[in-house]
Amino acid sequence: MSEQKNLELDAEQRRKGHFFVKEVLFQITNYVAAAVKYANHEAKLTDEVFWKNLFLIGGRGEAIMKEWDGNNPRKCPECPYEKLDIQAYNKYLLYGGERELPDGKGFASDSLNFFKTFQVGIRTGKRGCRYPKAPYEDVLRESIKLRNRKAHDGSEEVDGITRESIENDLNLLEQLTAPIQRKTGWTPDWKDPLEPLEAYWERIEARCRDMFGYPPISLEELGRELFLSEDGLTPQQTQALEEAADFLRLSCQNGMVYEEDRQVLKEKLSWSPSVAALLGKKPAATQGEAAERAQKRPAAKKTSRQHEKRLLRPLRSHRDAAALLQRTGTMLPPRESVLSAILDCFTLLVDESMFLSAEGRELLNERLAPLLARRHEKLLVDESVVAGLFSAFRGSAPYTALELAELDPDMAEELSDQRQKAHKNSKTAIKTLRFLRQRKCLEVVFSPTSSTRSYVNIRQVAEDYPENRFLALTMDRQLAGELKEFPNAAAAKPCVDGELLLYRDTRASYLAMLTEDKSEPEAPPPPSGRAPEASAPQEPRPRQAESAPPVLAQGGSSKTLLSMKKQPKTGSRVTAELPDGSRQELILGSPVGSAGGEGTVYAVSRRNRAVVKIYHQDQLTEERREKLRHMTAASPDIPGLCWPQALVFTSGGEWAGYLMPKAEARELCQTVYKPGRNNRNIMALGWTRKSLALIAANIAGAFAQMHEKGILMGDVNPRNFMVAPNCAVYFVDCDSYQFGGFPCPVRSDRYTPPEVLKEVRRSGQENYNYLRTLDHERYSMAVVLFEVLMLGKSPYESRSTDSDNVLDAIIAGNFPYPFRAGEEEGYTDQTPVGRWREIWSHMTYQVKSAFHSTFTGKGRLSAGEWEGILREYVRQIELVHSSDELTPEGFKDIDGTMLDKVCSECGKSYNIDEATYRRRSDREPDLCPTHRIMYRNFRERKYTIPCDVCGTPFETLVSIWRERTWKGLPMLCPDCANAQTACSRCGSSYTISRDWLEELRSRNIRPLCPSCLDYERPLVSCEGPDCRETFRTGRDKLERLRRFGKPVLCPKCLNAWR
Amino acid sequence: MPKKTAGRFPNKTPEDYLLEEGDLVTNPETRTPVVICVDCSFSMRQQRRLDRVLEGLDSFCRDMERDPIARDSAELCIISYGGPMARVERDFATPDRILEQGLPRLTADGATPLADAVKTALENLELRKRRYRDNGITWYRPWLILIGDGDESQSPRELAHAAELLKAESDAKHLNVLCITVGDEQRMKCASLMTLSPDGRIQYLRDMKFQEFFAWLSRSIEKTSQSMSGEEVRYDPTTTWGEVLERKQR
Repeated sequence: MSEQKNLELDAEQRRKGHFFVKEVLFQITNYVAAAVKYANHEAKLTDEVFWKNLFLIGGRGEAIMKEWDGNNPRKCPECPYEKLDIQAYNKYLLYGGERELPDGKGFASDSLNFFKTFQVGIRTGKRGCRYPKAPYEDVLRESIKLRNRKAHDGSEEVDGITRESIENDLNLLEQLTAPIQRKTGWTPDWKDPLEPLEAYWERIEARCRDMFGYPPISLEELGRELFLSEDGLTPQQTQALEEAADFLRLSCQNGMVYEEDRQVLKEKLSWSPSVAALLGKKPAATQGEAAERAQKRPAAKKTSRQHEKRLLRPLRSHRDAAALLQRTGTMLPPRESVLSAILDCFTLLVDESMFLSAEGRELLNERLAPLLARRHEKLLVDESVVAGLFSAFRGSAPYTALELAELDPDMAEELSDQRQKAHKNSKTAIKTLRFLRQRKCLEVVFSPTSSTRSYVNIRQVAEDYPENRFLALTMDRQLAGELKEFPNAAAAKPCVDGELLLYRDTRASYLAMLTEDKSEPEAPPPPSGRAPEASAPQEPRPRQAESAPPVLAQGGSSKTLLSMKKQPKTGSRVTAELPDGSRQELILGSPVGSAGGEGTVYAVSRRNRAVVKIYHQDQLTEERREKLRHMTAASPDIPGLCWPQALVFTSGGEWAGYLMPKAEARELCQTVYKPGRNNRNIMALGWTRKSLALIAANIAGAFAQMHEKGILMGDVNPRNFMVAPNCAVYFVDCDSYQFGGFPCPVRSDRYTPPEVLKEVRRSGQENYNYLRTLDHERYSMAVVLFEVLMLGKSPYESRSTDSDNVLDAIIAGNFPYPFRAGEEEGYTDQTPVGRWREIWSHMTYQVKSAFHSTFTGKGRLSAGEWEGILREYVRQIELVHSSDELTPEGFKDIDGTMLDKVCSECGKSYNIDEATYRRRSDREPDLCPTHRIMYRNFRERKYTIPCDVCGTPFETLVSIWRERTWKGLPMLCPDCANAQTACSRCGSSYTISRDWLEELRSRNIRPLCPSCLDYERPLVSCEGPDCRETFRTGRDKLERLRRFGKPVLCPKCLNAWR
Repeated sequence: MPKKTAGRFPNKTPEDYLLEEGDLVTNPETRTPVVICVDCSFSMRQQRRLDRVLEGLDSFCRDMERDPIARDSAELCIISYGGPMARVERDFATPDRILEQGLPRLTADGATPLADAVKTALENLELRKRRYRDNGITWYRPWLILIGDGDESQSPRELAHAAELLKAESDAKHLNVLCITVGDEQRMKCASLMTLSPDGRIQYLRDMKFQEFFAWLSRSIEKTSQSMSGEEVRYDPTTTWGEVLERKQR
């Protein structure tokens, strides 16, 4: 299928394009200069006169050459034509006729020589000056503008460059030199020999094509070349061209063809029937033949093998599915079962309208894609559909400047809006296509016909395969009408609420197809990963858990210690005894992993896929040996479970350990549980949240398989899980599993269910052996799943617990994560400090509900249910409904009301809900939650700083430091905060705050000791009505007021009185 | 010139504070706080003991920085005691930050304020724990390592008080205390470090095997940081580098 070249250019290419056009601009200066020189010499215009005329003032009050450029109108240089640049020539030609000769003798007419020689029409403008006729006038005008644009190498100019703009510019320049090109038989008298203009443009075109792809080829131009007419094409010829384009199935809009070699295209056109008729050539029968002749080599024959792929899947006559569809009638509701039934009964065909319409896209993305992914099926799409999408995209490219100028000005805006919308729409359509391909839900196949129209192809498919049942999804009513003829095809159209609506025309065929009994053997259902839980007792969904107190294993089990003369180490020889009786000699390699409590694991020299666990001396009991013997005899064959495969004996015949498959992975607690600063350890493994969810799902899956075989892990401990970088999970230390009546001897506190912990506490026994039930295991498994998703955080850790007393928290049963929306407030201060609440909020409702019910004692889910929920979570992350970040910045946006902001400190984007954002003041910068906490803590930190006065360091808050520094105040230690100063009236020294002292000094107020202050400025109370203010006033003023009997008023009352 | 001037806590600029806060917020790993008190008294000039300690410290930091789990978990605090009082040379920071700042350049001069060192260490540790609690960070049992060679120069009462504090913390399983000594074997038997050690034992490094000691220490801390809370960690035997000296029962 044709890979569409990206129409966008990257920065480097844009720069190249900019300079490329500039280069071309400068090069054609030579051509234009030579032409003008030729024209003027033909008209017998001397160089001096030409030079002088350049300085004549034109209509715009400007001369073409300016005197202060070092140019002297009286002194004509050697070769004046070489001294001008392209802009000067453009202006010379365009506005040359406006230059006024001195002494009012009229307008200078030397520029007209060019038009006369090269046969460009001349028109007379206002006031009698002469201009070149349009279209050349416009060409000149545009060239001037182009040159102006290219004068600057700024980024605005470069950023706006696209493939089209480069091609447009080059076209413009070619049109500029077109009259020169057309003139035959003139020789340019130029200093460097110029290559012929035609050859030059070909070279430039080839270069442009190499650098930027095919330039758009104007059909009209080609037509003009074909028909050898210079002024334009007759309607007949235009018609012929259009038909030819149709015949050749060219994708062309506005008369421009992309992605074709010019010569080849020209040839092809000439061989097409309509054009060939006009040209008098023998027409080619098919497009293929035309192409053949054009290229003179056989066209590649495309196989329709891909097409047969559609039928490789055996037809399923799923009767139930057919019955279901029949029942629903013609309005197919948006239920998954219905869609599944459709997939069972029909082969789907889609056309472009599905991608181009919002409803179609919704159907594809939201409903069809997940279903297809789950069923491991693909939607087969014709390549003509893809071609149609791309032609829609290209066709709705925004209008160029030239085109805009030609539009009716009233409609121009509306039309360009429409264009823009269509462009955006088609872009989204293509993105959808790509997305689905990435997710492997879609595959593109070759068309059965050579038509590039999808409806033709869809019809053809329906025709070619009458045995299959097809359902075409399209918005195209006409196609539906056409499909009426085929009894094996029906058409439906996606509606707004996700329903599918059958077209009336095809309703009959649809029903007929459903009732038809194709009686073919049903394809065997694909082997599911696991059978539904049959062996474990069927536990219903979360119910009130009445967990029975766990059974104490009676007494100690027979711990008969076996003898061992010498512990095998690296290099010792051991014998592995397989359950079928065969023996194998092995040499122990180096130890693998860290030493465990029970024994050491050694690599095995000859076998890469296995390891041997050798127990410590004190762990070799008869009971253990019996257990292992049973285990090796009955291997459950679950992938990822490192089950003991053989017992291992020393060379002396003593039992030492067992052989198990190797897990090429790393311990869970060393990977997921230790995320590192900014999660760098996890990210180094290439994991995102989706990987974590996948790991959790895999763990649940393995548990499910174990449980249905009746094996319990017992000691659920993160050390027993190993994870490979591709998220595959391996279970190790299987010798401690609870299997066939042999109990599990160890447990870890953190993963023990609360009821067991309570028993332990009550009975006071530390080492406690009990027979685990499925219920206990489900709790432990839930804890592990929680910790995997929360990067190692224990579920019961909350703000109120101390890190040492996690056991107390478990027994108390406080689960600090909120579940329903209404409960959010109560939990805010309980969730542990950090990003944990955000991580929690981004999990799906089902996951949260499951955790909540497990940890608040309401009920525990089975492993199979966990697996289903977690796999759904993985899918939700893929669909970007849940965040894929390991630690999301911000809560899940459930109803779309959260605002997206960017942190001004780290640049990361985060979201925050509107209400909180409004509450924050405007002066606060936008900070992501991490930085908010950082800055808040930072402001409250103490900072030891030397005092500015005495130099001793003292502690102060960072906020105080910042404030004072910003205000320019000195930092004062508590001792220096107050200073001793002498009263300016009585001379006695007293203490005053240093800040205040500075203030007084700056205001030029004399410092007074308290007693003098009372004297000089006594404290009085206001005598105004209803005012009890006390304030200080000058003694003199007071005495004066008292003398004259005036009331003593505080400043406020004084103002009011005035 | 008096070597130990103002203050026993380092002067930190707001940028340092900001970096610290950043680390606390972005790194939620369970921490392993390690306090190392280094004797900088005059007696450490013999046989270039202080230089050997510093070399060992350097390789210790580099070892821990290489381990992917310990580099985000271990937090190191270096306290030097020599002169009138103990001084916090480097406040708690992960190994890469310490290496960024550079290890402190210590010179051996002055008396030996051992009790002060212990008090400062415990105080700093408490401050650090408070920061951990504020940020929701858990921590493994902290380590306190006292490296010295001589007697206490301050009052024996202070020393006894410090010893009580240490014993209380160690018994409550809140602290791992290691006393390391070099120097004359005979004199060590009644040195102050012996009184301080909570279980009555100190490790004597013959031939100044600081490199081996610090290698052992970095491995032990790596093991601790890889463990899960509540797990018992098995450490390598210490006999490769140290000889145990027991306190004589009076």
